[in-house]
Amino acid sequence: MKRALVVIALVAGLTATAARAGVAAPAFALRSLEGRTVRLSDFRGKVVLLNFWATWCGGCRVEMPWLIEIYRQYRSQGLEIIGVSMDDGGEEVIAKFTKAKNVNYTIVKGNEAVANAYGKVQLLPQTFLINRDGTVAGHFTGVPDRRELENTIRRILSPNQK
Amino acid sequence: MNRLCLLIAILGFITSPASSSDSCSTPPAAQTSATATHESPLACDRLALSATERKRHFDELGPMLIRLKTGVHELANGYELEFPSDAKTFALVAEWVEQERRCCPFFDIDVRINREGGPLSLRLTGRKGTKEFIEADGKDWIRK
Repeated sequence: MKRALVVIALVAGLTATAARAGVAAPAFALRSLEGRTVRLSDFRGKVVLLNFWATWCGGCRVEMPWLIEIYRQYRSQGLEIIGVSMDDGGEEVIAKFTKAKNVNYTIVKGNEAVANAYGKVQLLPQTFLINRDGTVAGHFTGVPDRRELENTIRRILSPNQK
Repeated sequence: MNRLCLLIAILGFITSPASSSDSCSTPPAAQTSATATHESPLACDRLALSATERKRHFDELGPMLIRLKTGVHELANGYELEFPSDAKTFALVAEWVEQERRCCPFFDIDVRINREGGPLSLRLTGRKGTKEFIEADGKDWIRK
């Protein structure tokens, strides 16, 4: 019983700090729609915008065109966007949706383990900005203010960021 | 020791980044009153509906209600949709509303049935950004 409580306490502590600004972003290995394994560590040295979303999520559909434009604009400066789909359905449903929306960034199929690692991610969309060194730089829950999102990305991309 | 571990566990969950959103799956009593005390982000609660409910809500009820819609009125902070007020449509609207309030707790939802067999009005409004949310995501709903 004591051990169980200690484990619960440790897990709670981990999830509590996992996705906070300044701490290392939780590692993951998820399957992309093209069938390749995408790891967060693949993008070390780049700024990563990790976006949890779903095809049925209205807010996600609102911000998706923004993310497409943002990726087009800032990719050359070292931005990578990874969309983590939390859909119930299979990859073909997600692929059909992202193709129709002309999504130009990486989409992977998420799971509960990754969602939990990032603090449960109950509300969609949720966006985590990850520094080039792999630490969490920022977090938006829900549809962000686009200007604020872009300003944050620009600040993180800047080599002189504070 | 047992008490200490339990306390740590509880504190851990309370300080979890997701804790603020946990309240969204089961709206607190205060949210059932006229004025909400908690302001949800413009976001959908992915745990509010089961997979079956989600399919029903988005793939069946939504398209059915869009087809049944008879009018659209733009409001300062949202939209009002009109439907026939027959029992079957009312039941569909009620089912949709019950799910929508769980999934998207940031909406103010009003259902009004006008007198003398008049139309059923479904009003979706909310704080800043809600109307833009509807316009961006619900084009089929608000198309006149």
